[in-house]
Amino acid sequence: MTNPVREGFGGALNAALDEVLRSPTPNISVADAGTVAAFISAWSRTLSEHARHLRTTSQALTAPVVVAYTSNMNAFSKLHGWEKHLMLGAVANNKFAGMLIAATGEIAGCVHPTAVVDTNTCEQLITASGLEATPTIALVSASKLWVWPDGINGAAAPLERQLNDASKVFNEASIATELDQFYEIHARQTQKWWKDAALRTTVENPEGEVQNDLHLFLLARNSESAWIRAEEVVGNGRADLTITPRPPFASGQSAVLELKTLRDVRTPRKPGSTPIKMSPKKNWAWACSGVQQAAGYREKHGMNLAMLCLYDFCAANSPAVSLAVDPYAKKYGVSHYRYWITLTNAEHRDERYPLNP
Amino acid sequence: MGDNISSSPLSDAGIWKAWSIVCIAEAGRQGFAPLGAAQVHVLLYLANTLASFFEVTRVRGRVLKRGAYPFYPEVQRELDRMAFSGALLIDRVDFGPRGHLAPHYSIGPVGEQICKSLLLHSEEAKRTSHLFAELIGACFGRFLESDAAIGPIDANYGNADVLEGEVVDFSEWQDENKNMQVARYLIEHLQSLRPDPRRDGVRLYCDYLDKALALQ
Repeated sequence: MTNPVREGFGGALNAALDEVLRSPTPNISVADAGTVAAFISAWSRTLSEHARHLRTTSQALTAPVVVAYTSNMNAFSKLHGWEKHLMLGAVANNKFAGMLIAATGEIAGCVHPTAVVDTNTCEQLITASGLEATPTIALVSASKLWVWPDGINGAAAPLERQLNDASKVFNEASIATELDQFYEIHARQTQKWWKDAALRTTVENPEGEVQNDLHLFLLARNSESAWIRAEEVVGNGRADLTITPRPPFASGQSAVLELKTLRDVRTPRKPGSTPIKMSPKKNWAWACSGVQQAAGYREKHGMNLAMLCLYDFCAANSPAVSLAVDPYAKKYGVSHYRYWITLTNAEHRDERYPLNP
Repeated sequence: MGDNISSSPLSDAGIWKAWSIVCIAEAGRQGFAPLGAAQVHVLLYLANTLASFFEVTRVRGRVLKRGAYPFYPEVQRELDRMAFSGALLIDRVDFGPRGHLAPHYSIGPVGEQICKSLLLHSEEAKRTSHLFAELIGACFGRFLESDAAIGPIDANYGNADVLEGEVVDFSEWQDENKNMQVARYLIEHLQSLRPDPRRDGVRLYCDYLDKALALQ
């Protein structure tokens, strides 16, 4: 066979290069291979596409499909005797019904030897296999997907997704809605981000924790309609999260999300040390630097929207920081949102249901 | 992004051993081990041609252009040694035509310890592991599961300038590294999708191989 060669590319086939350029979307990455983020993105997309296939062929899902993350699939398979299926997930219209799967990567998984027909049995098997604290995705019908980002026994609330065939549109309002839902479902009363309630100290790297949790939340809800990426190198810095609509299932605007946390005290590295106080001015300056970063990332990469998300861990729950940020945000076209992170149920109640409004 | 290349034959053998261990360990983690010898050679070859994406130093290694996929005779000797020393395990052996044996490797307990130690102490090893993780994720569940015969459609190996039967060290190809050129070409033409400059370089080249094998 004569190899039709594109000039300068050695043995590469022109037709195959053209084919990649025509349909590259499934293979553009959102996270490093083998990570939890890549797992959630890939398997929630595969199961959503499977559900779409069932709907378009007027079929029902006869039994749930559950996929749980394991950090080492070979070791898990050997330990528990689950059978390896190396092509599992490569094609979304395979038969998945009744499968309990443990997987590490985007494709391939090991499957429990007996078909799972009800959720109670499935839950018992997950616990018996030590998978109760790892990210888990379940397709329970042709129109409903559940994601447990921290596992079925984890602290994070499960995310329920209604699956349908409508194309998603990303814009400032729809992304703000996603951020609000993350706040309500996951962030407002989280225990994960606090270290010492009495001292009001957060975990050592709260921005990293918030970013990771928001990334997994957005991936679980939007993996087939957008590329949600974290920690991308952009110029000399890093954008915290970016959202790019993924055709043909979505359209609209791309966005960069810059996340900043505001604290009363900085968490000391050495246990027992006195926490260093953070003045409101310092917090304001930190928040304002987020405006510069978000605007800079947007310009550098020609993205549409720049959004600054302020996660406010301070006791005062004061809008002052938003007022400080606002003039700069307006000047540079950055939208900004402040989310108060409550420490106790009393704080939550007093803010939501005040007795002396 | 420089194309660094290692320099001494002794260090090359050591690096090939380290690469093989990291590669087979990562394949096991993602569930694809045991790996057939052909699969190991293809993964090592692709990693060596695409190493610059992860700022990994390329390794000298002579490939004999004969047959359907790149094969490193010197690396095969290291694989055999590691299998006999317990760093690798041979899970099974396929018997091919003309008495050819095709061992399938997985990581042994000694290899696991070596791999852990490498990743603990060396940033280069971490980048190499990351490179293999992306390669394995991009190749398996697709063409490499059933077909390692990338030779004729690989931009470097299939290059008409390299004659059948010729021995060639592709790590010496720096400006002429066609695999990198193809990957960069694809990234450049897909800029609107904002591909990751490292991961997607590897993934898009493997996507190209998958589609080219289907078209052949």
